[in-house]
Amino acid sequence: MKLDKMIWVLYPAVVLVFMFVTLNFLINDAQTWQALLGPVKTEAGDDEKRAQMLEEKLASLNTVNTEAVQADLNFLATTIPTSRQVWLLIAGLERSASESGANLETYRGTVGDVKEGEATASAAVARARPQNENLELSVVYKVSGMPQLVQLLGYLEKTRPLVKVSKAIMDGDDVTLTVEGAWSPWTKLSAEALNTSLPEFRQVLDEVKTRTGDFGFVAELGNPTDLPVSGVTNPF
Amino acid sequence: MEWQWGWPKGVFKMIDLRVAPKAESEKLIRIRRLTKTFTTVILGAYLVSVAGFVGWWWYRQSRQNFVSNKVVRLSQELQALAPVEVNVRAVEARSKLAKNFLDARGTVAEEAGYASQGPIIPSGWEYGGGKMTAKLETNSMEEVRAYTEYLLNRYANVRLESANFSSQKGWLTTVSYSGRNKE
Repeated sequence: MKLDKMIWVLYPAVVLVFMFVTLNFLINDAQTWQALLGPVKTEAGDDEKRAQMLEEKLASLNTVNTEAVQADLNFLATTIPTSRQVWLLIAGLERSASESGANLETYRGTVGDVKEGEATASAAVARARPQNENLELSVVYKVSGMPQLVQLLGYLEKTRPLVKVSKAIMDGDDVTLTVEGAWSPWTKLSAEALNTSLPEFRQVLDEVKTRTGDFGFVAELGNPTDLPVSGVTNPF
Repeated sequence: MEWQWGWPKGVFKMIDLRVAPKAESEKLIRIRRLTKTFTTVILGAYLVSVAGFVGWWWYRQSRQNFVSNKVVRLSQELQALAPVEVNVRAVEARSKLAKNFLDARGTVAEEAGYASQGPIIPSGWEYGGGKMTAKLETNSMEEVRAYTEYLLNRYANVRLESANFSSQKGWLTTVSYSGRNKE
């Protein structure tokens, strides 16, 4: 009888205790709420966005023509060499002189004075330079006038590897040019970079090919031995 | 005379010491009923919520496992294609380098070409530091004026730096110019 009369008090009390115990059991910390309400994440921190990115990257890589990419790399390595190849720059200067009819008199750079016809490879390799230095030469030509200078500069600008004439001084028949050769080492890729989506590269590559399509090679490089595949450690 | 408990009957009236059951008030009945009903509703809602929570948790777990397996599978496939990716990224980086070099190197041949196509051909010419200088050998200043007007068609800043006259060579003038006009 007494229990029957007390049931209206015991019943809510039992229910409250039941709710408290079960809630405590189900949700033991705030992170569980966050995990349930936020995006699906695995224990490794991966989420569906990353899975989608990896899927798209895989699809893109499966469509890549490896031979074409290799050819593109060779082309780019001849456009911007991976080391300070002063002899390629000199070959470009000589080629421009012969094409335009100018006479290459002297050239001088960080490897020291080198006269035409006396250049030796040992002078270039004797002094080790830091890789961040520009490849710059001061070159003296003999021209027969402004029109020939224009031709000379035109051929210099259409040379591969790329060169930049930062300064030109024509005084009578003598022309002194300050010429900078393009070069850049391969950038080592980090493991983090390989975890991002594949960049769009064709547009810029096509533009470079269009702009340099009629540029002349100064020398055949053969197959560059320092392509990134051999130089980069597989981060996986 | 009748006697009861040692006293004449009627002396003591009977006092019923038993507690008489009180009639329960209607208000209390209402409160009990309300409490039970309210508790039952709360319990029902709670059970439904817990069922939903458990169901959602189970769904999330299965999605998590699915995503995890998918990422592992994709990572393994991408590992096999890592050399290709490295090459692609190298092409992208080097293409940008080449483009930036081409954009930044200026147009010295074009500038020299324009300088040589004027009314007179300069006998000397300089290029560098964002400025160009033409050295002119003329018989009259009229020719120099014509040349500076020719330069003004293309450049905003044209300045006659020096003018010297000699009977052998005539007028030797130096004209500096810079700043392309906006087209």
